[in-house]
Amino acid sequence: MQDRPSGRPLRASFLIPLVAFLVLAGFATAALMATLRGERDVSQLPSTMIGKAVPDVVLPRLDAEAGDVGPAQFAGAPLLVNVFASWCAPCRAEAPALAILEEDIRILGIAYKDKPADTRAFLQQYGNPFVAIGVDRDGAGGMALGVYGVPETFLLDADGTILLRHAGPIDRRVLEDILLPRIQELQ
Amino acid sequence: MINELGHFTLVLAFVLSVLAGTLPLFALRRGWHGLAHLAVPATMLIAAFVFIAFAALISAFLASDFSLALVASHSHSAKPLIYKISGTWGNHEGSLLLWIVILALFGALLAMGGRGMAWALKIRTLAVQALISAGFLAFSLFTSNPFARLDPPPVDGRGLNPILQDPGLALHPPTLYLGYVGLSMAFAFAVAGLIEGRIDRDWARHMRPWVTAAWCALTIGIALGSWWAYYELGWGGWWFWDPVENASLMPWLAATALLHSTIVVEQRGTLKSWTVLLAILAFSLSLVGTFIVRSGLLTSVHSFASDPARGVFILGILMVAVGVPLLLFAVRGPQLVSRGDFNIISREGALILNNFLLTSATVVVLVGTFYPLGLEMVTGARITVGPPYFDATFNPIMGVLVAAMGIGPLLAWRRGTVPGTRRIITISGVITVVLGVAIAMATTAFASGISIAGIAGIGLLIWLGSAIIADITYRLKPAKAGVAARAARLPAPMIGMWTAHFGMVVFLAGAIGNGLFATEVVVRAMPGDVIDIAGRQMTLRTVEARQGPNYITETAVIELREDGRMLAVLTPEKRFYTAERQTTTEAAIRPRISGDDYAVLGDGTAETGYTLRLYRKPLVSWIWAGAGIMAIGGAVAGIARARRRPLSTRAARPADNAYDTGSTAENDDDAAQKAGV
Amino acid sequence: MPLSIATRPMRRWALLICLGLAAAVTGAATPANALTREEMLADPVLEQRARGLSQGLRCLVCQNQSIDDSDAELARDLRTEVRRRLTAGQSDADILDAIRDTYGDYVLLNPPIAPSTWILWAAPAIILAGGALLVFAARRRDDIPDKDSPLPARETPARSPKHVSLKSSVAGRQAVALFSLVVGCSLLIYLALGRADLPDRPLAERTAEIAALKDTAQQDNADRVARFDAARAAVEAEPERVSNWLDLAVAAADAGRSETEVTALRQAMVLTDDDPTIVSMLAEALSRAADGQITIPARALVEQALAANPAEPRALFLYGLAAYQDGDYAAAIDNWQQLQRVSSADAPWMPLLADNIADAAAAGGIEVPVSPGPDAADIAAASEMSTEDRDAMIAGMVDGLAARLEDNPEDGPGWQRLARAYDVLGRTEAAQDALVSAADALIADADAQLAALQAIVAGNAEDRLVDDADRLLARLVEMAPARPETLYLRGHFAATNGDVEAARAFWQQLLDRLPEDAPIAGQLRAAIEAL
Repeated sequence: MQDRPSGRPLRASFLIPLVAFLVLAGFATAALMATLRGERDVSQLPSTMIGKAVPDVVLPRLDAEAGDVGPAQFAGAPLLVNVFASWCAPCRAEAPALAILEEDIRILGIAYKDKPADTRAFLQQYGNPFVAIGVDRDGAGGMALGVYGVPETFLLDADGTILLRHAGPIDRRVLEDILLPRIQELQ
Repeated sequence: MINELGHFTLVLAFVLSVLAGTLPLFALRRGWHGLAHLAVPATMLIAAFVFIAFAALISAFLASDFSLALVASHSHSAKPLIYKISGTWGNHEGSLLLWIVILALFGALLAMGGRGMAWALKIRTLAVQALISAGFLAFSLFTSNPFARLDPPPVDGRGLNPILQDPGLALHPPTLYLGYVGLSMAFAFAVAGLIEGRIDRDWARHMRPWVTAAWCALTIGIALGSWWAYYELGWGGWWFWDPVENASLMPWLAATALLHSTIVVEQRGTLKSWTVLLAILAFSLSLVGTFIVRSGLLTSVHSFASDPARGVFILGILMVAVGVPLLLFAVRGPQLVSRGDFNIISREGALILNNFLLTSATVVVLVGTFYPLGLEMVTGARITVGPPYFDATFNPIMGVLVAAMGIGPLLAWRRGTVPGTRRIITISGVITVVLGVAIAMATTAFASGISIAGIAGIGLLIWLGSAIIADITYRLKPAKAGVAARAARLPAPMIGMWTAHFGMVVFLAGAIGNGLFATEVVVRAMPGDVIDIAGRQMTLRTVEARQGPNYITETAVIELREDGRMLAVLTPEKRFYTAERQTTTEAAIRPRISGDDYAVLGDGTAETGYTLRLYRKPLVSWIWAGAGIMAIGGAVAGIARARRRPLSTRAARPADNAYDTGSTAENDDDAAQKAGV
Repeated sequence: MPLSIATRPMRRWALLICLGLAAAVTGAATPANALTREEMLADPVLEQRARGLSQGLRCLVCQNQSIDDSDAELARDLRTEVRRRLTAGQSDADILDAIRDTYGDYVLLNPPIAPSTWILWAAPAIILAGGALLVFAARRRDDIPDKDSPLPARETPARSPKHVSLKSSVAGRQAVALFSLVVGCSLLIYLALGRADLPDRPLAERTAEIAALKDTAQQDNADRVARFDAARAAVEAEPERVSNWLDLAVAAADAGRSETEVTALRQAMVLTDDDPTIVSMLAEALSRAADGQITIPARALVEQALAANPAEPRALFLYGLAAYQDGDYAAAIDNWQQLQRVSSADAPWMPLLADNIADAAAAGGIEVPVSPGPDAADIAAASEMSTEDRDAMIAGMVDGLAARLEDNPEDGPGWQRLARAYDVLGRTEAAQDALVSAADALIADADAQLAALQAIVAGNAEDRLVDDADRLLARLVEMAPARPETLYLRGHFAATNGDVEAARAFWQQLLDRLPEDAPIAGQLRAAIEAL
């Protein structure tokens, strides 16, 4: 049983742990930096709907007996679909952003698991930027769209293809860096 | 001024550990032995200072001193005393301080003890330990200071998260940290050995008690956490493959491997570089675990209020604390070559197989835990690696390991089979096959569809159990003296090993029994309803409102009967903690050796009835009992080792007869090394 | 100003503060249970499959829970969806595929075998094979017996030599130096981190203080309730008094009853005919109810208030805040500085305003001109400057509004706001024109017609706008022929056109309907005489 003092060259196999650790640390660093820069948010999930046709969601309209409404009715021009609810605090925060977007694109609202009376009160207080509002009482419409929380916003092109999904409120960064450029691209 | 005193001593400890981590290493290099010896008193001072700081923090929690921001945000005047104390470490800052306290305590133990240990190795080990302390003290002071003040103090605190107000969780973190930090001692030994360029049997002998202690503490800590999850979270599971759970499992697996490979170094002087690597990895994995828990990088249930800025700091510590030793290993490791003149069918061979399987299992868990993060970084895709993946990959590896556990202890050091071994293997093999087939047939007969994995599990369980019994009988049988006399002469480490391995049998019995034979019933019940579950009857008598010390509760009264005989009254609760404004579910459990009756109260009203989830979980408590037995086994072996005489003073014994013998033919160079001891 | 800059609320799934090991609970601790009886299917075979499927699906909003275990609303929806599809006869694979199509691979606890997971699934085999290879290679290498070589050359004593002790080698001076170094560094760090000035404050020593605080809080609360009740009683007694409604609004805001506050302010607004101060109070109330966000309705109100009174402080503040929330920091600073100028130096909101400006400047990376100090000359200079700036700002604002209305002439209320703004600026003719436009936009609104006609009469613009007046009057007569104002105006315009008989007839008709002692009756009689 001997220790050898020196003279042995570096052996590749002895480098494996270091290399493996550096790979792991690299991923961790990348993820951490992205989180710090605000580009990574573990609560944001990518949508599987991107590039696909919008599901055929048809919901009763909020404005009483006016029939049904769905994204399909707005084909022919770009459309923003905003899933919101009166019980959702972040939805209030994005009201001004929707008001700005309203000037550039039509917005279809989907009132997710909300009582129509509450939705109306919400619109009264925070403004109504929507061309129409579908009432999604049981959340089936949201489920078809893959909604996992409110608010969520989908951008559709004229053919009804989903180009983009944003989960969470539209803040200034999302509005200016993500949504407005894509909308301008479309027009 | 207790608070500020604590704060100041914490700063003192930091400055001192920076000094104690650098100066002795430098002094040793220069040959200034007196200055190097500074590491010993400095380590003890650090421990004293850290201890004062921790005591100050506890006293602030006890006195509800809300001028400390930490107390204000994690305590409440109306909290029971025990949770005021446990609230000290029920949060990020306090738990970090607890971690540092244990680190300092272990350092001081080594500084005071370590008798018979090479002086330079001890100094270097203490210095490395001080460097780790310095890193964590800096982390505590500069990013997570427990002594941050509030002026003016609020009227009352915000309380402790109710699901943490629990005796199991009061104990879980300290034990787990004992384990993690114990591994830091092995790590310090390894790094010191690498710096010194010498790893020998003495090194292993002095490191082993720390590894054993750490392993026992980790085992108990993980079991406590799992037990807590079982009874507190209220859906009857005990392991969820959550990243944070994996973070504690990986060091445990690595520590188990280390425990076994240290035996090889100590007994045979071989596997040195591998053992050094394991010692580094085991603690590194603890650090990775800490990183996961506190950086919020991976979605885990149990992250502390996560803060990426803190994550950067831990990542920095991680880079230095893991990267540098691994680099050192890459450079120095190849020098630590030892002769491996043993047959593959030998105790060494079995222990190498053990290490190979445990390490593979560790890496599989590591890959499964970090793969989603890596994939997200590379492609942006998000996936989940959940229990099915680990069931499919980790479990088979552990199955092979359990199979090997049956054979390994029967083999002799150095070379192949002894006459008895083959017979023992044959006997236990036959027992296993016969019993396994019988039980498999029996179970498939009345419980439709037990999976192949289930049958394999039952088979392994019987195999390991019978192998241990066969081993014991073999050791006791060829009795010139009586069995009792022979039993008395059995070496304690061997008894420890049997105990620990038997703990595994018990654990497997629990896991398999609960996994395959549990019954669950979900009902909406009105008071007076009788629900049948696994041959027992549960009667919902009433649901009533009650008042606890700092919560109000809705309590269901459920009578448990078997054949009309009253067994127990179960009272599952739904608690509302008023200060924290949170609801928790308290399951009612009637734990018995044969299995648990488990009841959970869901929502409902007297008019519509209440949702009840009722379980019968056969053998489930064996899971934690098994972990406890494993820890006891480890402790028995560890204490016996620690009390052993030095290697050189003992005579050689026949290698094939004693698990514990330190003797081999090549003891001469050992003796040369120990000349100065 | 009670509103400060509101941070943007973020959706953040509250992570539980837990320790070490264990499992999951969703952030929103809802008392709901995981799976409930109602969701379960009657058919035990289907239900068994449903449980199995649920255990393989991840709850997306929780951390690491299957939907079977989760209390979350979304998990419940997914459980229901699984069972719906099962009842519809779909196979397990179909159901998993459908849910995966909607929510992605993330929803599957068992990662599907796909190019992105090849490495993951191959990992165990690679690890085992690679490990075996390494073990084998190492064994072969180590099979070669080492040539004995001496122990490492590092010269270190195996044990602490007897002569080595702290005393002997760390000489007194060195020890003092080390000691001072440690204590000195510690003191430096401590002074940077610690608060030696703050004493301990254990709860036991604070009983008196806390009792007093609680008493005060209780008293305050009682006072608030009392004030609120009193204000409501006053409103019920005298609903026509504006000050009562304003008192109620203040009391309601104090008591945290924003709905009452908004209602009261709306009432006050109606009673005062859209007084700009009250309009901006309403805007503030609405914003406060929306967690500090200046909502769209609030913005409209702010604009209305500013059009009526461009120096209305509250409206200016809110306007700045709205700009801040839009991220237009330059505009926010402009507005707040405007407010600084029109406010007296000791106005209570000045400090907050300065803070906000600094905030906006920091957020937008804008350099703010040094604000005037307390020096009297500076204040005078500032107020001088303010008149100019204010005029410029008003003019700009009004022009903007006018331009927008040209593009969108149907906006009747907009025209009315513009008219009020012109009125403030003293541009009477423009105000009259705007009111006429408003009346045209609001064809069906008698009051709009009336307002425009009254403005024409008040401004002696009958000749200039003779055609408009005819048109408006015709509409008014059609809509509200019996209103006193209509009768008066018909008489007035008849008189202007020289039709004395007709004028007399209308006014007489009006006079007959007025009570004898009505104050204007006398004036009307005089007017008839004058004809």
